[in-house]
Amino acid sequence: MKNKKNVVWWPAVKNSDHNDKFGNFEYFQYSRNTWEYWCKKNDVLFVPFEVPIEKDLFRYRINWQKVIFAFDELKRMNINYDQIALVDSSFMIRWDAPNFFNMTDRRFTAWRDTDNMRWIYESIQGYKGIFNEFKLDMSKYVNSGFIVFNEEHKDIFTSFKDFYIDNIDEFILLQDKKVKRGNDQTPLNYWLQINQVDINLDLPIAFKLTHLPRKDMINHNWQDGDDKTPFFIKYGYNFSFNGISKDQRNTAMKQTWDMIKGNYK
Amino acid sequence: MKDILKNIPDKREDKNTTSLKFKKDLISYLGDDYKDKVCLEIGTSRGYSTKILSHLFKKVITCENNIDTINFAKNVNKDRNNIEFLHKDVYNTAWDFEGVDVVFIDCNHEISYVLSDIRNAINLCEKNDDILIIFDDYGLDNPWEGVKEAIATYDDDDRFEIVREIGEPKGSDCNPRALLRDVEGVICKFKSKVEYKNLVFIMDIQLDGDGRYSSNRSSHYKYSIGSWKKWCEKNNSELFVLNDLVLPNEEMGICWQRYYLFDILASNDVKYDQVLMVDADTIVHPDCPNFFDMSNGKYVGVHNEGSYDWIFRSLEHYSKYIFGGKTIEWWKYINGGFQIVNHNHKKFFENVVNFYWTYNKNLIELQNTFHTGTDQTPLNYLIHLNNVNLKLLPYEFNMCDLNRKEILTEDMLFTKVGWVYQFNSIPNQVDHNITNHYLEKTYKHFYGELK
Repeated sequence: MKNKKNVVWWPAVKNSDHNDKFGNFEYFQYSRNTWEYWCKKNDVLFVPFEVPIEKDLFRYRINWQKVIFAFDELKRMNINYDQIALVDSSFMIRWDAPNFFNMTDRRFTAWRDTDNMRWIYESIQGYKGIFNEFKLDMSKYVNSGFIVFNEEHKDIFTSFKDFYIDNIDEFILLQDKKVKRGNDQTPLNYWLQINQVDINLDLPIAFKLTHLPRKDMINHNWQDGDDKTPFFIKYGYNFSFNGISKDQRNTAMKQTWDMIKGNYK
Repeated sequence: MKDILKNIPDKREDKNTTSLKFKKDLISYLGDDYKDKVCLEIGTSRGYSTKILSHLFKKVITCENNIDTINFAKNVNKDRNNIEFLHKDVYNTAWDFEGVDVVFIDCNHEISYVLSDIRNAINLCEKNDDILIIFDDYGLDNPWEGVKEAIATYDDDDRFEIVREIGEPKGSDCNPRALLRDVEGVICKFKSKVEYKNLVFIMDIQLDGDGRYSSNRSSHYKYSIGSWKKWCEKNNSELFVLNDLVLPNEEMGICWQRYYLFDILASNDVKYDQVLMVDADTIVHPDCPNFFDMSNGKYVGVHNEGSYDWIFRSLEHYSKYIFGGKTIEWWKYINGGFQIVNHNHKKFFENVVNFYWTYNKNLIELQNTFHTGTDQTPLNYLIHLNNVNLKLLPYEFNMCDLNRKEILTEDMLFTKVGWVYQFNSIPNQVDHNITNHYLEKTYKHFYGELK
């Protein structure tokens, strides 16, 4: 099919029930500014996901909807997609980040998550039962906030959607009451491994800088020179403002935007 | 022989091929003995040697990275039906060939590439068998170290020998660029009958003062050594513990002295295949997979996941004050506490040691000014600057800074999620008490009381 374009699928639905927790989601704009610029520069289609498919955001959390409805929604919008990058709106991409679509070898591409290994371990254990005690390889556990895939993976997403809907009550119980360690991410990891999806884990971690404070990446070189640029801006391509208190996200992303916005003109 | 050499040019006519004498010597050496065997050619080039080989072997598999060159070679060999042409980057893909009896190497002649070729060729050799490795351009007079120097690194390896010199002699003018400094090519034999084991190398040296090897810290290294001893027994490997300094610590810091590894092993008459240099503040899980089997013959490390504030400051300081502003891909920055090397890295370690003696005053000043490490960051720069082919293993194979991952706790969760635990970067320690606590506790958790 001609005129296919790579797509950045950017979920940013404002859930009014969580306005206080997320400071009215003002941070969306800073993420959007960077991704819109990067997409234009790299001839990529920026597709925001702002109106939920399912209105019941308790049963269908946005984190679930961004994954299970991605293909449906792109089809409904009549978008002629090639590769799709699902990227959370807590990410800001650097103005000169390389075009990762050219680095995927058209494989399902993701990045390992090793930030809080206790949380990950507990989450894996917590969801084990619903996946028939499948032995998940933690050394291949990926973050679902930034993944790249294509048409070949449509069946996986469709079956994942069906599995969620078929077991929705149990998933809600697990995520809200029993496990309380994330929602879509660990189940998606199970689904990918159960279905033996070939995952490209080889792209540099600079494309998925999460938990910046945990990594001491907010700092600058305080020992030498006058450069006060935080390390994550200097050395990262795509940085997430997770792993911090959610009510601080607006402030942190605004400060970052103010620091770097001159590069996005 | 005349028929085989029909329409094949001499090196004087086409500098990209071998000389006719080389080809004649090759035919003479191999004769009819290899008619039922398989030859792997690394570097097809124009395909003239490929053609000769196709007459001498049942099958020739030939690898080339340049598609135009492959097409040229295919045309040269259009009358041959036992050649498999592969479009392949032999330096960045696995040599997943089976049943290869002879390897003909005529590819990148820079020493690090030749060493990689040799290593890969050796790995094709079945246990208790031999493999022939044929080299072109042994005597090529390059301004850089090449085939000859690569082969010379095997001088002290009983398994490897030159069995025949072939082609134009030393001083020949067959190459238009320069006279040969030695014979044009050599045929070598590698015998795998003598098994060289993999080795785990640990330094356990008592020093005075507060440093890494001070006695209060090293008192619990026995648990680390104990765990590695068990792992070696299970994985057909040997443990080598170094208890003595090579040089006084004041002349060369202890961390730098490990790069004398190959000299230390040679002087102790230790034979080895691959060597893991591992820090003595680690414990290995008894079921840790055999990482030697995962190396593909490359230099192996594990990315240092920890405080990137420390790593970036260190990289910036060394860049500015030692490495002339150069940068490296930081996501490939490895921890110095877990490094797998082999014979091919002798030269690189010589470079590391020479680097130290050239810059030692600056290095020590930098260490004392910024406190951002000793050998680790320079090592990373040198790996990069020397184009060392590095393979990264997952974090689970050298789990440093466990506290940051929220798993260094009394419930021993770390033991369930990885293989090698390095008890470093632990905050609020007094006299290394927490490191020592976890070394002892983890050893006993897996192995019981230390005997």
